[in-house]
Amino acid sequence: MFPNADEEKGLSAEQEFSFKEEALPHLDAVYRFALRLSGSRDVAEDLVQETFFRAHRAWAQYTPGTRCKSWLFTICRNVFLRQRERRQRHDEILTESTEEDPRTLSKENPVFAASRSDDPEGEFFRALVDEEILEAIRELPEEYRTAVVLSDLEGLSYNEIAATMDVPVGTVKSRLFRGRRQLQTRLYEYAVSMGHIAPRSGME
Amino acid sequence: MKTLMMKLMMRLKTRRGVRVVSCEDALSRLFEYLDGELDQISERELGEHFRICRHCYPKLQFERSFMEALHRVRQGETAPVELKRRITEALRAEGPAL
Repeated sequence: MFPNADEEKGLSAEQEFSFKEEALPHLDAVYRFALRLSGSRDVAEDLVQETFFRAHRAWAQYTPGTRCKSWLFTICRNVFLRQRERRQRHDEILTESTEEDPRTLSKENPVFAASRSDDPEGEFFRALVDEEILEAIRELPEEYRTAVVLSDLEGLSYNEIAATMDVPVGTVKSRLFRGRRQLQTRLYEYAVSMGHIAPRSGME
Repeated sequence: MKTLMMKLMMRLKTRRGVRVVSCEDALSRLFEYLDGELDQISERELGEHFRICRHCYPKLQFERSFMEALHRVRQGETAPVELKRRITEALRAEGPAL
């Protein structure tokens, strides 16, 4: 099933056992991550399969003590990015806009300002169904999406996210900040369109 | 004179042993506070600020509602059984002990 399997030297019985004990239990988490990253179940399944295949081949190089889940997420994201890069090179189109909504950068939260009079405690967030939240996450640029998914959906620490994405902790903070602001803007727009909250001119 | 100034400064800077933080500082670290990423001292300082600051407390509550909505979708989804079976079988075919 896995290509190039004959290239690997093979793991010792002990290594096979530790892979089974340490890596395989994260299969659900890797699947969720792959699903949030790609937005497609079929793609997610391929990503997970490829991730575990690569992880298995690289298991001899895995340093015990590193958090295995982060390590698997790193592999999964690399596979995803490489595949996407290939697709993009193919049709020469950047699917994600690098343009950033300037509203997300201000210190004051514009969504809070907009919903303040009608819903100061942000109750509308609770009224949203999971699908709407996941859809809004899927619409984030990949770097923000990955940071938000790892932090808010998978519960990783800033340090673990930094290790997974191979960036400094400060970058993780700013990606989370920007990603969450963009997400709030989207969710606010959803909530207004669903009638959970009255529209305010401030956000238009 | 100098000691009086110092004492005054100290009183402004501390409140029951906790350093007083500005609203700007508190808001800039709001997500770190909610994510549990601050050290104990900073967490206490910010907690105290949010507790007494009428300007910042609603903002904290607002972000908290948002984070809770995100955390709600956190759990649940598992990989299809068929995928798990496929992966473990493929790995077993490769290795001796799986």
